[in-house]
Amino acid sequence: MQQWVSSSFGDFEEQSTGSKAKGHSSGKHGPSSKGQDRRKRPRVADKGGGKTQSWSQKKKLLEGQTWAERHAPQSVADLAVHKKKIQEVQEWLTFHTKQRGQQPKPHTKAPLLLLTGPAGAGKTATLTVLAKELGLEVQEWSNPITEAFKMDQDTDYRSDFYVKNESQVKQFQDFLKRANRYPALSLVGAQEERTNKVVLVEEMPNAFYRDPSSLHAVLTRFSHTGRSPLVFIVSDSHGGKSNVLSLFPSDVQDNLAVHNISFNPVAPTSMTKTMMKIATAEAAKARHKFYVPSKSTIEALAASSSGDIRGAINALQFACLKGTDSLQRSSQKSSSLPSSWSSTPSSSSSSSSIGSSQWKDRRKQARGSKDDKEDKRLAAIGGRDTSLFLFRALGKVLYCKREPKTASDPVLPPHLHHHDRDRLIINPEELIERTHMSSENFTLYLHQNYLDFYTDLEDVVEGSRYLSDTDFLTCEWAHRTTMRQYSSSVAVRSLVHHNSSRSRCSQDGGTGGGRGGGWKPLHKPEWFEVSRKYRESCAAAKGLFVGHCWTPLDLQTQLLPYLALINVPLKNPGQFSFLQDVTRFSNRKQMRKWPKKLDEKDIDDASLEEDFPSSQSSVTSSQNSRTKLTLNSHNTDALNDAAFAEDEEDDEEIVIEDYDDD
Amino acid sequence: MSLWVDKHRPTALSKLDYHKEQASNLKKLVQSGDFPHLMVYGPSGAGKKTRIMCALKELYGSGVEKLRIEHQTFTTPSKAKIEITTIASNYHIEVNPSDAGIYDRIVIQDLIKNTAQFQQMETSAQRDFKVVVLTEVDRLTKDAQHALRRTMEKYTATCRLILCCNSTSKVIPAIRSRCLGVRVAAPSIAEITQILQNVCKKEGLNLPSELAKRIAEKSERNLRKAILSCEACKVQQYPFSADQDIPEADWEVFLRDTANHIIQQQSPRQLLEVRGRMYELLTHCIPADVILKGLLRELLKNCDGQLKTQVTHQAAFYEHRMQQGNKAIYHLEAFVAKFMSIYKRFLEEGFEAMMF
Amino acid sequence: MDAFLKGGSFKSKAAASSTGGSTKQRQVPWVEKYRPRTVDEVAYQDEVVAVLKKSLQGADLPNMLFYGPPGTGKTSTILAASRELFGTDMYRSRVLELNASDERGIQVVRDKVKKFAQTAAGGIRPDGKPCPPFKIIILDEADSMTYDAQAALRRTMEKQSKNTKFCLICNYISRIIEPLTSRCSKFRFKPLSKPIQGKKLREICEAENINCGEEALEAILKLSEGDMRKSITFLQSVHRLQREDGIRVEDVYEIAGVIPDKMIDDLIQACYGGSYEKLDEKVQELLQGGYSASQVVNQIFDIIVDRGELTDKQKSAIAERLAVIDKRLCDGADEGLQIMDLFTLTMDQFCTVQN
Repeated sequence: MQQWVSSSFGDFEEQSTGSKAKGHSSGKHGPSSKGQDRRKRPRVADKGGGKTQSWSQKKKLLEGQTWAERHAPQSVADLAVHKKKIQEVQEWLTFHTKQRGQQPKPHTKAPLLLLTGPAGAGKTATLTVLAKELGLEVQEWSNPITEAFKMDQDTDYRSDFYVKNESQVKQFQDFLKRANRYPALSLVGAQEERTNKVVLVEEMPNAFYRDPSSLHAVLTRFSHTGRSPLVFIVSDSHGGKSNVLSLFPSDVQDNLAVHNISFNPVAPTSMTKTMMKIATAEAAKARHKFYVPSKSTIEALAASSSGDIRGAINALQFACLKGTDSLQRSSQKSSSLPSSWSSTPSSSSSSSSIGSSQWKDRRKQARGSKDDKEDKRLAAIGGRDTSLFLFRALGKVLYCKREPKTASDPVLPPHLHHHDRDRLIINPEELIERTHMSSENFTLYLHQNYLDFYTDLEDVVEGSRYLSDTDFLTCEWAHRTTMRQYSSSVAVRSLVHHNSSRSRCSQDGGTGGGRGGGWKPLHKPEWFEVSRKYRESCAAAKGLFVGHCWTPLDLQTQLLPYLALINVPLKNPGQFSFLQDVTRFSNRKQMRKWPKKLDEKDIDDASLEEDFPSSQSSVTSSQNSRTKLTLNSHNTDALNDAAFAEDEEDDEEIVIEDYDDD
Repeated sequence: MSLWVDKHRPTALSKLDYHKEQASNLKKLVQSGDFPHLMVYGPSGAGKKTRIMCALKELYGSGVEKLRIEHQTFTTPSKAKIEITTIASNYHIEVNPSDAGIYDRIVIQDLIKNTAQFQQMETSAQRDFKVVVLTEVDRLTKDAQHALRRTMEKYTATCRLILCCNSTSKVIPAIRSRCLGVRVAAPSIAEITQILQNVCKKEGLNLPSELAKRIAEKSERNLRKAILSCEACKVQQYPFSADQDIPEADWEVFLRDTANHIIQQQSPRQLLEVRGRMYELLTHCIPADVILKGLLRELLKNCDGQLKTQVTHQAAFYEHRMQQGNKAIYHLEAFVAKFMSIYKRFLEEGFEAMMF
Repeated sequence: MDAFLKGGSFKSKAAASSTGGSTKQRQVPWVEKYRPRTVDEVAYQDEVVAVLKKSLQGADLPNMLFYGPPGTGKTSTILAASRELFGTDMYRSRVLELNASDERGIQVVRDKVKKFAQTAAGGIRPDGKPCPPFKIIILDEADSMTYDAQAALRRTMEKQSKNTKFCLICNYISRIIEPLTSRCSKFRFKPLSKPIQGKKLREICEAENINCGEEALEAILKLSEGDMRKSITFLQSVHRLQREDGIRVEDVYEIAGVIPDKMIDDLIQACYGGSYEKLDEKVQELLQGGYSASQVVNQIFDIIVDRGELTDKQKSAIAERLAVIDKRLCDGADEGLQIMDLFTLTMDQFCTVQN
């Protein structure tokens, strides 16, 4: 108990000095101590900062902070986020806190807010700044530290209050409960606003990723009993909204009345502005170390960070260091090599023994200082190493933009003339890597869409042949992991190469879709759906017509179709409807459903459906176990529920004790 | 539910309609008391299962006809549970081990072990062994086949195996050499015609011999298919007329339409359309290799000699790929694309030849 | 002396079963029933027999590696030898037999084999007679052991070489790791020659009272390709189906799943005819008959190689396709399609020579 009290003291100190923008009181949960205040999840900012530092021979940065931390926005005016978004969040916060403060109606649903957006879009900053301005206290959950750490702390007799192997879920539940029930006890005392607070959850307990339904159970309870607004911040850094959608499916969002505000990446203009300000301020402070980079450099940095302001500031910090200038030059030079090759992963690792993070930075700069004709490319291959959205990745392959040849390019001998292509803008392997998808899935997406982009049948023959190859490459189970990379590489390269109508760079400077016939919608692969349905129907057929002991092939191609033609009384209605379903074909064209369209932010939601060759049973068994799991968690929840009331009383006593101790 | 196929299935070796010599050999084999492991193979619809059941009846009497469906569970080394449906009488048990997917080895070993150790309930039974009927042996993994070979030897005293498969190519030689092979050839057209007549007579129907012959020819010597479509004919129109349409399964019609699509136009757009239709077939439980073979058959009708060779070669190539790979659609599509290209060139050449 | 007695007892057993003994005995596969009981009975493998005979007379036995195609008597030889060495009583305590069906991972090699190898073996039988002072571990199908297990075996072999002799048996010596092969004296088992096999089969025919004509016997020998086990199994299978009126050649072919010559000839003729439809019809007929595609590949290969009128180039083209098709069939590809692919190419080749 001591811990959380002391941490709320820490909180108080931080708030008063205002030295740290992210000064939320740490959660009052788990056997935590000050150590827990630090975030365990390595964030882009921390990492980048650390590395930069180490490279520069540990030049002492002021207070060891990165610029991103030091220059975190202090007021709404500092925020680089779009005004409308800020306003939206602000309105929500005022509405739910003020209203509550006035008329404490405990049994309306607890307000839930979900902030989403790419990393570094300013979600956390917006919330903290707003909370400060509105005078709200922020209580943040952070994941308890590992068992080993806990054991260290366990010498304290007080830790007996905590069940040793308390699950994260349980701890999270407790945190919510306490946060809900007791305002952080601050010695500042009876200020009216201080009693209003916001509960912030930025890192999810890992258990929730594995089993989102347990989160939903916790939340449902919270929404019934809770009073304080609860804010979730979820970055969709790795490939779009995967986390958000799995943690908060739309039905759950509706049920719990979750308000969702989605942040966009920070606009380059406001980012440039902020960066300019920071650079000037820093340079003024320590002129011997930093210089103010040119505006164009900053603009390029802003562009290349693709909306990640934290990343951009980190890059800026590096760029401003004196002595990196020459490096920047050299990297510029190296980037004028044929671009599709210079940046392959292999060459990057071999050419630099100085460390990969720094290479990344260098690359950022290299990209950053290129002319704006290429900024489209910068956005994609630019500094940020997060995902390339699937949609754009597909577009890059299928539209396969090219640039004119240079004189130094090798000329193919006459008999290979039909393989002559202009130089490719994209680098396929890098592109695949950055989609964060399994190569099979990416290939499936390509397969679903490539036909729309091909005009010549001969090209299709070649393309489809190579697609067949890609599947063949990964057929051997033992070698699949190795062959995967090759197979997707083969798929992308062949599809790009064989689209002969796009073998030249477009004359109009690469705007839009070129001569390929403009914009075309992309679709999600049907294969998953189809193969799933095929497997299910086969299993159903086997299950329903079990007495016939026919081989599946005979059953599916002979017995079932003819049963539909012969009106024999069937044993059960299941058989009948199944027959109807499986044997009837919709011959009319319009009956066919078109595959789902692919959206810009969509990600690979099918990745869970990796098809297991010939292991139907394993799939079903795993499904079984999954349902069992959820059942179990429900049970434990129910138990927890029962224990809830008791717990609360206990807590109260302890709190008082602790208070007295102090 | 009693389809003609089930209703008129012969139940004794002596009542079989064709391969009579083989039937009498089987009978002799049963009577001799020296019953080896059997491997019954032959094309689909040739009557393998019928023969097996007849032989079992010959072995144990009518007790084998009292069948019950059982669900057995097996535990894999990774503690996963697999449930397999078996059909059993007091004397035999029938299972399709390929239902267990990659765990077929465990199913085979455990099942045979259980059966072999389980002593015959009735001591009065004339046999001191039980029979395990394994269907689709050709679809077993190699691992399972090797396991089978050992288990066969181990429990040979209390357990006999009857293996049933379409082709012996995919069965390892070690198993083949341990079994007495019984080849069940498909019945001839004449035999099928005769059987159809018999069936209709038993049903009290009058089947014109022309129609019987047409059904038989259309069935591709698959007796089961012949009887099924005969029954479908009866549903469609009775009394029969000699020239009535023989109903086809919906998917066959659909497949033919798909082939026509390919013949009509060769373009990427059309390929997209064809892909959709192939997906449609797949979702209706038609296996990919059946689609490929069906397409080939229909497409070949539109080709001349040299072209047929080429197309067949491509089909064989992609069919192999399909068996190996995971995503059949790639290979199906590649085949269709290739065919389109071949066919288009053929048409263009033909057109040019006409011009000059 | 001992050996002679054993042989005698085997003869009397065979006689008993042929005169219609109990059903139990009849169920023993002939392969087991007529397995050689003594080293002397082992046919055709002179070198091994010579070595083993020496050790029967008291010489030391080296570690041995038997390799060669199936059905050449590898297992039979070592079993017979160890039986002669130790007699039935001591057989169990002195001989450890492991084959592929037994768990033979590295753990087993470490535990089971080691344990067995470590126990001492005396030079005197319980009844006071001298016997060889070592034990034998037989590892059947050693080529299916993992490399790890083989490597583990290496140490054990060296350590226990004094009182334990190993006998590894495999089909392919290339799958045994070098350190193991170098520790063994290697014996290659040759495929049995037809006369020797024929002699054995005739003995069995006589013992079982089978009326098997020379032609049928010849057919069996041809089909078994020097594999004694195969030929005996064939003989028993044919005998099972055909009890009264002797064995005919067709029966043998039927049992082996061999495609009748006429069908193959028809196919070849269809290929010469150059008509796809004709060919298709013949192929369908073949497959409807239930013949297996791999059998087609085998038989066509024999025919193509011997065909005089084909040029080498044509032969190699067809042979190449045969290889491809064989691989595809192994992978589980559809028989009809693959066979069609094979024959259309053959047809192409044939027709080009005619024109």
